[in-house]
Amino acid sequence: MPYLHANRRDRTRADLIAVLVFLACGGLIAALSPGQQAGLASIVRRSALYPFLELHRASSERAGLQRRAAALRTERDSLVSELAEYRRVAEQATQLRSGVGLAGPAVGSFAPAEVYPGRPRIGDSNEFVLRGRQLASVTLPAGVFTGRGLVGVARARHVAGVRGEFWSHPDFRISVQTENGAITGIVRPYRRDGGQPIMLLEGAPFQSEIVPGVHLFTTGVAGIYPPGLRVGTIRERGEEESGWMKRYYVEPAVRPEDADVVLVWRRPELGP
Amino acid sequence: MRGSLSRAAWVLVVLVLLLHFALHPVFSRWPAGPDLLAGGLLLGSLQLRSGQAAGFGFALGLLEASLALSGLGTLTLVFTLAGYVGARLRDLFYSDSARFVPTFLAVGVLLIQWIVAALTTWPPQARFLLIYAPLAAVATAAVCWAGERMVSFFFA
Repeated sequence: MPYLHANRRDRTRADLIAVLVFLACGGLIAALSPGQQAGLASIVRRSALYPFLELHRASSERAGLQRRAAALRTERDSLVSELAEYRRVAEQATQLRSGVGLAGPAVGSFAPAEVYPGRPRIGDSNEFVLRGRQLASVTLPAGVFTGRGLVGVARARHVAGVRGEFWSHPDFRISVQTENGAITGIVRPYRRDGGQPIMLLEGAPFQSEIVPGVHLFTTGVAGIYPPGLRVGTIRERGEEESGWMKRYYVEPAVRPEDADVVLVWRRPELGP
Repeated sequence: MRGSLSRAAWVLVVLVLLLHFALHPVFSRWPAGPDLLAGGLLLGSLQLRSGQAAGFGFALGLLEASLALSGLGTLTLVFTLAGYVGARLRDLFYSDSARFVPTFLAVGVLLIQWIVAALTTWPPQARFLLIYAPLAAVATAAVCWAGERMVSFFFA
């Protein structure tokens, strides 16, 4: 007796052809470039998955509203005190610049957005979709961060939002420097023993020594991330790199799962 | 009677898949939640011809990968093959035993989880392969078996 009285008969040749066609389609999709795959995924998300994604968004907003309000209040309070501290420095800088006839620094502006991480079957998500009203005016790629530090990079337009990668994405690299600017290097994601992703600082000069607890900041090279943005904190020294460079394990400033509301950097227009 | 039982199986498949996509954020937070997508695919493959089951798997793989924002090619290929193999194995191994469906689901889900883990995360984590994947397979089999009992009761 067939399962639950299912009434069906296999037509072997037609079925085999159908299987081969679907496998060929799967192979074709696998052969598409990451950009084309993202385009296909965005079509599916805009159509078949749209009601489910809206449901996820609504429930996540509802659940996170109270928690977010408390977190925002705390963040606002700490920002107010930090702002008071830096306002004096900014005023001095302005006075000095006007004294020597320099134009004001071009720092750009920021577009707020909500983060919707991808949900892979296994492991943590390395990609996300951003939603926000001001994202249309952002030039991509652009750095994504919270008040605590770097989150990742916004890569390309995706449906009504923007698709991006967390710093935990295997392809992610960022140029960093210590607070005094003495030591520079490249930070990439690193998974130790299959655990949670951390960061690895590579390319630090062999003669230099960075002690644990030192903060790393973006250099702003290449204009994707604003300079001076916190990336992470040195945790411990790793193995040497080819005997000429040093490696350090870095505790990230922001873990991907902790990012729900972020800022996307709108780089300033450069003069001629 | 026969038609209504077959309809019951499809009601179960649709319910399981709707639950999977609606509760995806919840299940993805658990290390070993039930894999209702694989469960729905295997339940559907028991109802379909092998070619149709492959197409069903292809569609589900595409939806899942779009939700995950990664592994589009891998998941469509794995789910296409899983649908096809599920339909073919059903022809070879089907029995009237009440234990067939839960066993078929548990083993099928476990194999799908292992294959997806091997193809998407390298090297696969031993903790996932030995603990989380078997737990997910058992949970999926339990949920789908309970669902099957319920719809059989209502539609019989």
